[in-house]
Amino acid sequence: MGEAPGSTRFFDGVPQSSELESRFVSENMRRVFLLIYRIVGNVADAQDLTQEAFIKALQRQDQLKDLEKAAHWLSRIASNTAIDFLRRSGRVSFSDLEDLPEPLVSSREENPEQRVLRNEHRERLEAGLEVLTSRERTALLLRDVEDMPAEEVAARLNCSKATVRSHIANARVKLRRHFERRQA
Amino acid sequence: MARNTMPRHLAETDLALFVSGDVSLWKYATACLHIARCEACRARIEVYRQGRQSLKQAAGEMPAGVNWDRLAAEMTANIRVGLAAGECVAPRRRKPASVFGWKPAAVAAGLVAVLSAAWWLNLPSSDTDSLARAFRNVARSLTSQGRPPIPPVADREPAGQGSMLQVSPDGVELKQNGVPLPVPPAASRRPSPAVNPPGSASPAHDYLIVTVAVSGQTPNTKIDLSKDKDSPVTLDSYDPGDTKVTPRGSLYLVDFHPTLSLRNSSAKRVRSVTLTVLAAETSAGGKASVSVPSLNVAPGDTFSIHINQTLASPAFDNPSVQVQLDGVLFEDLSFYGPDKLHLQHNMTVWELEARQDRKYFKTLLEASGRQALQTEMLESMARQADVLQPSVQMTSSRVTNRRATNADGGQDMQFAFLRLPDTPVELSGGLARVSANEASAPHFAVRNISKRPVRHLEIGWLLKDQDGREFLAASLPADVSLAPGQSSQVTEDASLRFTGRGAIQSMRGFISSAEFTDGSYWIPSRKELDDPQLRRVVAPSPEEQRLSQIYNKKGLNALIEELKKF
Repeated sequence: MGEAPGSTRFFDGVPQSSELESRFVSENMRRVFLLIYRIVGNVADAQDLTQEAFIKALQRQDQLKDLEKAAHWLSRIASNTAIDFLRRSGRVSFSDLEDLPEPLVSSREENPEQRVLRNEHRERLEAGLEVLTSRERTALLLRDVEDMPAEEVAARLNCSKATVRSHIANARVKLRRHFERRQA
Repeated sequence: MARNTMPRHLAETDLALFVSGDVSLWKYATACLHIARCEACRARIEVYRQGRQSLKQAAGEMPAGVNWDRLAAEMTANIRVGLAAGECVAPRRRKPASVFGWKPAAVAAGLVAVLSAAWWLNLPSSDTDSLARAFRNVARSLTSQGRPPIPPVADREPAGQGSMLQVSPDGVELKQNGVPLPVPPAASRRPSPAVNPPGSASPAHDYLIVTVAVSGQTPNTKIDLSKDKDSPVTLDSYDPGDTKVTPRGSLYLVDFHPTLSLRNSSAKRVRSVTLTVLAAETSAGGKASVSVPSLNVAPGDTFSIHINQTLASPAFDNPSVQVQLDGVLFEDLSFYGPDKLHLQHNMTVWELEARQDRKYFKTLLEASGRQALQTEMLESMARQADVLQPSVQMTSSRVTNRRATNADGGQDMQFAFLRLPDTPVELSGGLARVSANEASAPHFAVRNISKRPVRHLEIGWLLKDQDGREFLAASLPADVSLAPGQSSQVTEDASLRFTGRGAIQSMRGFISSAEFTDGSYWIPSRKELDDPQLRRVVAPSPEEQRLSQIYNKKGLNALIEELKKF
């Protein structure tokens, strides 16, 4: 079909392509949104960037060499999209977090106390992430949440592995101190 | 000798990196040897290990206030549109909600809930007033449910001809022929505050609190105070906050975020206040309002109101924002102000609900103890989290009342009714025109079953989608003149469209409050609101939400102290 050898078009040319696209989007959307949200720090930007990441991914299916690695490939596009956004904007604003009212997301199985505790846990994390610089936060999230090797984080952030290690260490130390101060 | 000497502790950064194996092989081996003998470093590493785990766990939690189903549906739709258009989410614009933000918010100062709304109809004032009345009730229902700012669904379909308001939990947006008001980006300027002596330039105006002139060309803030000596609320101080002006095409966008410190200059306690915020009388996006219920301000005391609005002002004029007092409700339920927004009824209902709720919690504490109050608060917070609130659009009557003009305008759908045991007015019939996820022109048959004449009603409008999810879409106000036993028809011009995934399956209505001609009110009792059908769809009152926030943030003792203040 005129495609480059070795490339994979996992949606187009398949009768159920739109169905596959929809499944690809729905299965990965929550994870991608949360990754981007934790990096950029507000829902509105995370929403835009999530959409942008999926559109990029679906438009660049040719670049995907191995279907098994689609999720990882998508994560890379998502984190790059978020990092590019931070670079473009030159700053990160967390003001929207403060504007968000009380929690909404819950599972029916939880009792109210569990839900409150979980929300407190999340709020604690969000407050902690605010004390980090955008690079520290991004490095930490890619390393600890996405389980990305430090080398790959360095490639994403376009810096040396030593710098990434420094960001990660600083981030963990800052977070620990932040949580200890709050507990005190 | 040296073998037994404990080497100094590992560097903090090495400890932090050790847990993920991000140290060199040499450092890793050294650290392993050290922590085998050093309890302190071992403990510190455990802290980092736990921190890593809890970060991973918490990072999987959705941010507060995000209704994931709705957001995912919206993003999926936008992705489809983006792909179809062959564009990669072109120049990103800020969310309409952020630009024209109406946001339910809780103001930290005094933990006062602020209900705010904005409207941008470029319509004659009579139309504007009418629609504003209707939509502020949508806003009220959204706000009272403490819902989060969910970005409105990007609606690519023509929503109708003419102007349309899109109301969502975080914003109200003006659309013309289905297209959002164009707001091209431009650089922002932040004015530096320079407060002039009071009363210098602007003519005095009844009920005026303050006029803030924010020059578009020269960063400058000028404040003219009201000369209204009779006002029970006066300005004590003004902090411009992050107020700034941004030229956008033919408009100035005024991001108006001041904090007003107001003084109760009256002899009575103030219970709630509504302010209007006006940047331009006639242009779209020029007006907003802020209501603050659950106040308890003694005579002579001050209180703060934070305004968080973005307003549009014509670019040919120096932008200024006028904050006017629209109404003050006192503890004896007397009212002062022009009440241009017709919020006296709502403010009184909020106060009556607040009294009822505080009394209930006090009684519960006395009768059943602290544990019972705590359980009640937790249940309230869970309920606030559970109540479904989709994005709702409201359109003006002349735009969407398709009865006479549109052959494919759907079909009439009957209302079912939810009758609360002590309701003074019953709904005996009702219809609305329904087409897919839009319902318009509801009308109801009402009958006064009380012994007193009724002059005003609020009708709760519940919608159920095809997935069986029911939610409170709006509360419709109706001025009536109903003698005891008398029946009448109530017709509303409003049209609602919710951004759910399916068509409207059924509708229900219920009387949510009533005002008698003698000035007294009826509101549902807590027992009536305990109806399982209502609990699923109606969130706790603003006061209960405020109290539960106090419990959540400050604990049970703080809540009990707060209850003692009333």
